[in-house]
Amino acid sequence: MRNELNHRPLIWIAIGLGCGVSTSFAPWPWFAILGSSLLFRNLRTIVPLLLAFTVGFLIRPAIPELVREESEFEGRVSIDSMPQRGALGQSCLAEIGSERYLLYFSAEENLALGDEAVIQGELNALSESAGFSSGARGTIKVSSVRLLSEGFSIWRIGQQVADHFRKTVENHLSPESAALVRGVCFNQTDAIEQSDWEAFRRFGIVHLLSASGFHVFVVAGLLLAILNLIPIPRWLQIAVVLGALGLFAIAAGLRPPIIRSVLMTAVALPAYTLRREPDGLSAVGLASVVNILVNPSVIVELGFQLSVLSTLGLVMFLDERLVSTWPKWKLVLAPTLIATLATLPLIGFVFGEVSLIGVIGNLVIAPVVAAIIVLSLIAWILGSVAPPLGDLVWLLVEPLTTFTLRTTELGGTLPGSLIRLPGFSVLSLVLMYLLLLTFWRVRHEKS
Amino acid sequence: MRKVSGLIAGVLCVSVAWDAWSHRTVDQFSFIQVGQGDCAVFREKGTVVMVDTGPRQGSFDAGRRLVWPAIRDLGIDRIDCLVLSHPDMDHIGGLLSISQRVRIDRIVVSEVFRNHPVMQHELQSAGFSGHQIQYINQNSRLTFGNLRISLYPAPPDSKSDNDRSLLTVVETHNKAIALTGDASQEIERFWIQQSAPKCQIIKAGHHGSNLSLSTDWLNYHQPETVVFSCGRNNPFGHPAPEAVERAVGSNILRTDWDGNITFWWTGTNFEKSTTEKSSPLMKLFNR
Ligand SMILES: [Zn+2]
Repeated sequence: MRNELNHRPLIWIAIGLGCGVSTSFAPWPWFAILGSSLLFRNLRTIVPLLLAFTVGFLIRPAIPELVREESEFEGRVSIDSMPQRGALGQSCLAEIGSERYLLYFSAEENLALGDEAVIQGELNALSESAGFSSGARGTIKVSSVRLLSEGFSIWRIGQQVADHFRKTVENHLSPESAALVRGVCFNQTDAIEQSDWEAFRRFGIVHLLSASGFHVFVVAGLLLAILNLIPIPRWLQIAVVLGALGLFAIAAGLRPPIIRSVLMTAVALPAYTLRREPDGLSAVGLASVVNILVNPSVIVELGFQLSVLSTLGLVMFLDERLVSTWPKWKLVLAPTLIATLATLPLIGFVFGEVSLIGVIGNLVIAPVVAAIIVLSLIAWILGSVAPPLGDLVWLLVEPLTTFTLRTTELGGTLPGSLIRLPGFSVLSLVLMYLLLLTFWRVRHEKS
Repeated sequence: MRKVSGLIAGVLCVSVAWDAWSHRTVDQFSFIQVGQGDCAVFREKGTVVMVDTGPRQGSFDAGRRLVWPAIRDLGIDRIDCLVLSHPDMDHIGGLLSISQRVRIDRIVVSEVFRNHPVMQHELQSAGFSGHQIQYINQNSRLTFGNLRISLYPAPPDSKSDNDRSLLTVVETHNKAIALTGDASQEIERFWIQQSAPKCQIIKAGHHGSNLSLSTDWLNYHQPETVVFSCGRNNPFGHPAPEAVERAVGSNILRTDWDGNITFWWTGTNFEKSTTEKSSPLMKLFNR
């Protein structure tokens, strides 16, 4: 085990960096760093660990002084994240000086990442359930915008592509199906009904409603499985998959969770299929390091944590030597199962409940959702080249979404679907993952 | 390998001890940050009483998002008695989600709401019926374990649901806490005439509306602490500056800015702690 870890400095850098930026939020990272330095008493691990910790500590996000009083705001802002559509219009992060705010503006407004603008609006407090919100100190309900300069044009193009997808889907599918397809494909969750959210939550598959690392990996895996049937070289397969994922990321409005997942897949995939150094573990380490350096506050984003864990699970347990002996059905089901199990302890820690039926829900629905994503993308692209062909594929999507929605409705009503867990500490969470790690170690030695 | 097993064994011991310590049952009571609404929970010797459940409005369900994480943190998995002051959604909205997550043995409601459509609908959707619900039609005293609850219904001719709120006084160790739902000043004076127990801690009525928390009520109790349970950016402007002004002289706490307000029993007295200042990592996990 020590040897395995000694040869992977990227893992240590990722851990050190993660602990460093986490010092803003809790005291335990100090103990974690002390503990790991004492455990692996050699320079090869301690030097990268402590250096990364120092860097992390220096770039740690500040806990903002929250806005309390409502007031009028007028001033210059720079848009800090890709605007996201919600039920009440659009929202994004914006920077004013060195302070961050959550901006809410109308669906018609054309703002994109990197824009500079003068806005007028109402400054308000964050809601009680907003959490850290990337370090925002308040919200601004925008009433008027004057654009000063535009950011990179690629961000705006991404937004236009996403808009095009939205209109296409709405023209071809029933409203409920369209809402689902937009959510699972491109994270456009604004049209999903409250009752559908509830049903997905009860069936333990609510994460499938919004595109995440898990999605990207499923799409990549499915594409690979299809490409495996065609006799082309491995590197070409990977190139095709990564090309498709790049397209996917642009069309998904280049939102941070999508970019992160694509990045993670892009570094993990070649390692997984070619089994070359640097291996999958180091790849996840690298992707995490890049993510934290770009935006230190991702460390407290549940989406980031879940995508790191599921990707780690996948690269650790989908060993090429094992996978090559598996039948096709196992290849389709294994990633879902592994990703679900790898994230279960964290989900239990945060939400206090895990859905056992969710394991079944994921096994049943995830492949269908993957099919919906792939078919919708094909229909959309085909439709813009040859509309009749696109229409034909859209006809296939509708029954799949109906199946997903109705099965979820039914699955959520099954008894005993949720298991409540007593509150436990971060330490117990770490313990659970250490146990999983030894399980991997045992399997690894066997193979 | 041996080192790793040693590490795991070490972490196991520490974490079991840590969990046991941090989730030990301490007598305490909390005003939970639920946004614009009310929810307070009391525990003594393992017996738990809750008063109101926080709001549910549109997609925001405080029962699931805020109350459940908070009571789970306190290690509460069972509520012996839940008092519902009146059937407004900012007080009973969380009932459904909470009842799905923890066992609720008994629900106490004022008699005037026995046939109230909203109250009945919420109770039924949460699966409560008949013998589990106790209707209060006169000044009553209930005991759950060591917790003593006094209940004072509003006068029967009150004009609004707010003014029909049930006064709940919870006594735990050396403190008495008064919760008046959304009742107005007139009803507070009625309860003074009824010689309701004098309390050291009172929750400002109607989230700190100017129409509640009368000077008479404050003079009657001479409270050490007044708690305002209200939401950030609430459109009603609660708490009203006038109401806060009247409470000056007591220790003023607000759930919108102080977070969950908890009083821990140290063995001789209660010690106060609030979550907003300490920002634990748990609270920062969010989507
Ligand atoms: Zn109220």
